[in-house]
Amino acid sequence: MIEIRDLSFSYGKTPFTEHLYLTLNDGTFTALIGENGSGKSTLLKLMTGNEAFSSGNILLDGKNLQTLKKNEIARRLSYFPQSRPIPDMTAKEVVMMGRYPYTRGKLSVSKNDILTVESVMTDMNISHFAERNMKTLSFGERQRIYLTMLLAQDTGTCLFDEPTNFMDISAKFAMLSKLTELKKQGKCILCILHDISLALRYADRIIIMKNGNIFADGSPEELCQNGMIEKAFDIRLQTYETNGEHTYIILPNT
Amino acid sequence: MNILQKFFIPKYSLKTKRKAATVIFPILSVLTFAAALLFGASEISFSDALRSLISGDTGNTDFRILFYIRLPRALGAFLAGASLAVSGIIIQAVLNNPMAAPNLIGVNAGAGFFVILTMAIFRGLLPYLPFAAFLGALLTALLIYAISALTDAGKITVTLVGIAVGSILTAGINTVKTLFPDSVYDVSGFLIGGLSSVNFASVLPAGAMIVPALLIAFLFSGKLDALSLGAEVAGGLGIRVRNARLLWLTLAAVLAGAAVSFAGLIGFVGLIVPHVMRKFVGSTHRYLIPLSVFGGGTFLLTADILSRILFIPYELPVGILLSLVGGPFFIFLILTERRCS
Repeated sequence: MIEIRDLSFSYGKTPFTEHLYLTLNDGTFTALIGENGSGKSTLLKLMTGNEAFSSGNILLDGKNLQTLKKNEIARRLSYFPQSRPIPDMTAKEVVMMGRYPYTRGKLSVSKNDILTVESVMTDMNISHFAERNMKTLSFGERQRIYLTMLLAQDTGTCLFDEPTNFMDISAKFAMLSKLTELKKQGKCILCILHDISLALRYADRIIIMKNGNIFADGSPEELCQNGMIEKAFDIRLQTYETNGEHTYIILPNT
Repeated sequence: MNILQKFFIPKYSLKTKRKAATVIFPILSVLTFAAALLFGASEISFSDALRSLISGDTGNTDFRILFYIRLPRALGAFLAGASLAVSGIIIQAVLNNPMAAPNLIGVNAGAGFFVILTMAIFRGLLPYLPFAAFLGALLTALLIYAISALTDAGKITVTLVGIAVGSILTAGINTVKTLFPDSVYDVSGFLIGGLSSVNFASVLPAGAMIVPALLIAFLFSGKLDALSLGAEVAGGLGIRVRNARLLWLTLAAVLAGAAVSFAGLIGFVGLIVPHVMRKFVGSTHRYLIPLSVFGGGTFLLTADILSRILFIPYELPVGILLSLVGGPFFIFLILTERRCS
């Protein structure tokens, strides 16, 4: 669970995010959307504790992020960055790195860590990749292994920065249903998405950002009905109802 | 590297290869070390030398050649090979750049500049030569790191900047040599890198820095794994990325500086050995670092033996041999890296 209280952040002397409040509860899947440069990634990085902010507080599981030890943070919160260098390691070694906050780079690995890694690899159905070098895997396969690594980190709060970028559509669906599953296990999921229709389909709450601040916040239905999505992106939404389920089609605003 | 993998290294699992490497490389080290003591320009009798050691007859020529020339030289070759290889591994992990190595990014030249400066101007500090070399290496490493971190430049760009910094520092070395012609005995030999003038007085203080640094690198190698995943991932795993990078670069500078202080600007060991060793043992640093100690030691010992016996009675400085091998290897690496990115 994460609570942001009166957060302000500036680039140099230019204020960007000002007096932002946001609470994300456990067992929820929140999508963070907004145009390029609207501050989505910045907000995520601030929540990881690796970026300094000017004023305000971030509470992680009720504890002040700035006074928590780095290692403590990593046991409570995991972060899936938008891009990373491809490691010259096997898939299993990469997943094992998810246990780093617990092993802290010890030379010997505990039985418990090995069991955790094996069970998440089975769960994600990637055991057959175990000994493959990451450089020999496709982009989608690598993303799946990074997600497995994040599962091995086993944190209550998980932050994702566009995890579905450049993936095949079926792989996108698979990844987002996995996040939904994590939510049902009681984790707090925050995920930046570029694709509005994916956000509408999978998230139970959507936060729209604009110019560093929150522009709108609500359930997909609310944001569609009050026209905030259309306003934020300058688009037109058409809603269809089939068997009591909403389907949205996004159209250009002409 | 795929060509290398396809033809030279059979497709065994990483586990098998690691096990084999754990046996093979230490044995190779011992064998090449013994060979370095046996082979040389002059024929010596090993048994005579040993007999005189036991009887305490230190005036024996064979004994003197073995213990005062060949032994420190072999020790120097092993230590320099090991420390440059591990220094290369660290620099590559910290900069997330497989094209970086202590000689390429100017770290060796920085160490060399401080060494020559000490020899020419601060002669009172000569006993602290390895420390001066370390300072030079550290300052250069930090400069390259700052450039790479602040500009977010690509891998090849950072390497190019390093090469430019290296040539500026080499020009500095030559300037000092021109201004103080008498104080520096053999600058061209130093720039090429060689082990022919290594003696116990030069290798022991450097060794006192190298051995603990290698041990520290091994003990904390798990942290280097996390760092090699990139700043954002490492930060997410609870690493203080900036501090960790500075500490590791300091360690890399200790290793490279100590090697340069007695062996000169030996190049390419820190590039070739890590890449080849990764093919055997993978990139997990708790295997890669200790086995590269043996791999790097064996590599430089072998190169030094070859440089001594290839053109008897002439001796080729080992730095020339390494450049002949390392240059093409570097070109190969650039071309494959470009294809990947």
